[in-house]
Amino acid sequence: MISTYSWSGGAEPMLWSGPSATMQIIMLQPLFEEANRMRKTLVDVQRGLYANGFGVALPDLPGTGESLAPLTDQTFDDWQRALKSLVVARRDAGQTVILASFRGATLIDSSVDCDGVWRLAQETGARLLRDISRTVLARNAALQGDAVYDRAGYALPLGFVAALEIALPQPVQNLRSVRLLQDPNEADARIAGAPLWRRSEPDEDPVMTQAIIDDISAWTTQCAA
Amino acid sequence: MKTTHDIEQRLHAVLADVLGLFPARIAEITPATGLFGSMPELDSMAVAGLLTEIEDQFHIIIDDEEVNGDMLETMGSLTHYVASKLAK
Repeated sequence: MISTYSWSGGAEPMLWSGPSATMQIIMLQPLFEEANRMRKTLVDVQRGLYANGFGVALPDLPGTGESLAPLTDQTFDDWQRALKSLVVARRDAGQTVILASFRGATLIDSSVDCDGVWRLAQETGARLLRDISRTVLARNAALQGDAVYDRAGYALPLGFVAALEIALPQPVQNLRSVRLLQDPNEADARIAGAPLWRRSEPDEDPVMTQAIIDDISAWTTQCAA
Repeated sequence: MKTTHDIEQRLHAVLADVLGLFPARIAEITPATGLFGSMPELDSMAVAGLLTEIEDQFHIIIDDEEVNGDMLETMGSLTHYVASKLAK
């Protein structure tokens, strides 16, 4: 159901199913355009995890998704504070909390104590920024050098860009790092599928979605044991 | 050392992944197949994703100055570019 969560900066929207379940999964969305491309997959994963008996929250971080807060006002610290409030509220209620972070969300999932972290295709901030700056370059090339400047639709404050530029996924306790089969980087496990976060036209992959649901379910159960 | 054929096959897989092309479309691709400006799926947003994915898969760094119409003109020119980066 559509819900909200509170943090020191206000209230933000989230989808939350199964609030009373003892095992709670907080799904952290990719950053920027990748979140839009993955939306269908993320909501399908949320439903699948809920069907498996878990409580599942899919929050919008301040300034992202349906949040009313301007993205230009956000910092990395704000996102980590917002995440912390989500985790602490559940742990205080005696629930087990697992973070499931997708792509750029893996940059912010290390700052809070939880019972386990599951990551899909963790990525550095520098490479996410590179993707954005490339989009701008390609668009400007398509406009044949017209003096148009944007940041692919995202007004990012300079301080935020500077923080993102050096951000790396940090080591965490109880981590399971998952990547796609064709991804040459190290991983604890691999699943078959296409990098839907790269598709300029959002797409879905039910087989990959089910593999994600199965893997997060198994990891959550293992961390809670 | 990767052969041109290996690189081509890998690039076909990357195109399929990033653009969501069906196998029948991929099977039709030849070195003469036009890319940027010819392939409707390859818009400016998709170019960014394609280049970043190529970097990931081939472990190369693509300088933004090297990205131009020539490099992305055809499948052959893209293959040639990746081969030259791998040879360095």
